Amino acid sequence: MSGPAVFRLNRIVVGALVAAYLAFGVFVYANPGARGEAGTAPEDARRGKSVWLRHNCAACHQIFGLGGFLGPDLTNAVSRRGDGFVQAIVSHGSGDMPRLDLAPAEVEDLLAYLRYVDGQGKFPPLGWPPQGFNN
Amino acid sequence: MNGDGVVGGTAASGRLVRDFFLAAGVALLVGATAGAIGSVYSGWTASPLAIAPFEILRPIHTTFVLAWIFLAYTGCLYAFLPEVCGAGLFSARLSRAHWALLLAAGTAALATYALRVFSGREYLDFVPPVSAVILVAWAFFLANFFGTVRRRRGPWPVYLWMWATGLVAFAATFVEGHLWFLSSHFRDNLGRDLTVQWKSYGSLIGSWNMVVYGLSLYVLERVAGEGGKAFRLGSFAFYWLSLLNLMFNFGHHNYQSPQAGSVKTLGFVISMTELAILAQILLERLRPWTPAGALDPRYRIPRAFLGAASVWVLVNLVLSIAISIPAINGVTHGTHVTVAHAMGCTIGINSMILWAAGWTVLLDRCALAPREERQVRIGFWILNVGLAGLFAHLLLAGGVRGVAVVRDGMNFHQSAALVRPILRGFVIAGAAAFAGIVWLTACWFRGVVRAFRGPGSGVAGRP
Repeated sequence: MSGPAVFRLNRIVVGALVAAYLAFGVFVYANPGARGEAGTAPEDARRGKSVWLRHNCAACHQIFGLGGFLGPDLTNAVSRRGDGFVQAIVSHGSGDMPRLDLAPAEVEDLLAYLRYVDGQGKFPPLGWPPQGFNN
Repeated sequence: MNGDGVVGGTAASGRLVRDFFLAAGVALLVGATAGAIGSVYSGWTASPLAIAPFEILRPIHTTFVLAWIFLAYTGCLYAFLPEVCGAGLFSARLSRAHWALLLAAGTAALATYALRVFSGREYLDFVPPVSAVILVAWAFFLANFFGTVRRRRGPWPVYLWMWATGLVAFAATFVEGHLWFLSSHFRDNLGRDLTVQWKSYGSLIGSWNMVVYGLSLYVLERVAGEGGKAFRLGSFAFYWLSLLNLMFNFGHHNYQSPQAGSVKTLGFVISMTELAILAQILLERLRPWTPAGALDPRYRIPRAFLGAASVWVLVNLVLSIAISIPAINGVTHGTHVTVAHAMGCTIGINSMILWAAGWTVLLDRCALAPREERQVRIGFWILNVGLAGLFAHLLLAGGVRGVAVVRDGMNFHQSAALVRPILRGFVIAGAAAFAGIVWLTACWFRGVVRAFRGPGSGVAGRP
């Protein structure tokens, strides 16, 4: 196959891919994820997410393995170490982790966000041999 | 060709290409410096070399390394489009506005990072007003690009399709990457937010890869004796496979997240189509090559960079297929294996191709003296050896840590202590790679200044 036939086929393939991409995009945008609508954050967790973003926590920390690698993954930090431990680290810093100078309400909101994340799944997937998809 | 040695263009467009190339070099130096300093944190705590906080260094590094890719490929496109289309650029004014807006956006991003003002989103760390400036600049670029290619007579070669696709896809996915900011529908549901975020990022990466790979095909045609492929079915099939991956291959980032199972499954299936790309690359290696002696000796440097890129494509393709297998992903996700993949592709593939394309533009205008060519080769080897060391150390650290955590249940501090010696090796190898980048960028600046030095400077133009 050469020449005009290739160019015609190209238009068909590209057109089909674009159409599939748009349809898939609609599916992804509407899909509420593995937790369904129960995955929607409560109000204090939403404020906590703003604190997380403002202080660029993802530069060093991960959620579900996504983020920077300097600090630990915080997906299940609350259930593994407890509210008090996480609160103390956030309030006072530790090692390379700076003290963030947050207001008490901001600390509470950030904790609420991490509690919310904790409820969305587990990371890392422990056990051997390693499983496939997680959460 | 006019007195400026620009084929099919004007002195103004020559200056435009020069300015994009210079800005690209500056962006690379800024990004690489931030990365080199930031890497010290991996190996040593409280080091005197860590002169800025990591949460500032990382966004500077990612933003400006990506800026290098965009600015370099834009300069190449502005240089090649008149040749490919047989017509000058649609609008010099739009291209100048494009450059000025990107300069403003980069400056604003750097200033906001220094003031600790972030969006908080990985890879799109700058605040939304900076994003808006970038989007306006991109609109000018798209108008200029399509205004120019409309003047081309006859069908489009595959690399023109790839450039057009990559530029349009960037605009769409850049907006998609900001949906979290625009609507609480995306922001307030973690599963949806992570899915859409990495859908957009996967396609963003695919968009610049599409442009860069298109550049590689064009340069291969120009300087490596691989002409005649741009209208063949095989080349278009590669384009379609690349487009498929650009659009749908993001799910492997989120195998571990609470995203819909169907998205994860689709991500796995699409990831495995890369096996077809791997097979095609291996088959290409078995075909007869054009002997180097039969090729224009002026373009040895671009061919060297293309050769390096082809090796790194093979290495990174094998790695990306491996880490897209769910069981392997379960061990490597969230470790330095991901960093190895990102840096291996950004430096080993994209940057090598951009240097190949950029040096082709420069060598079209001004040949290198043997001493100058030797300087570029020294930097080339320092970088590639340093990159190989950096890559290997990251893979090892990530693999060791992944197994220690998933199999042995080690916590963060235990696993960090375990891999710290390996990460110190990464920092040292990274310093060598950084030295190579600085060396190559110095050669780059010299080459750009000479090549665009104006009439009467012995500019040779394209043979």
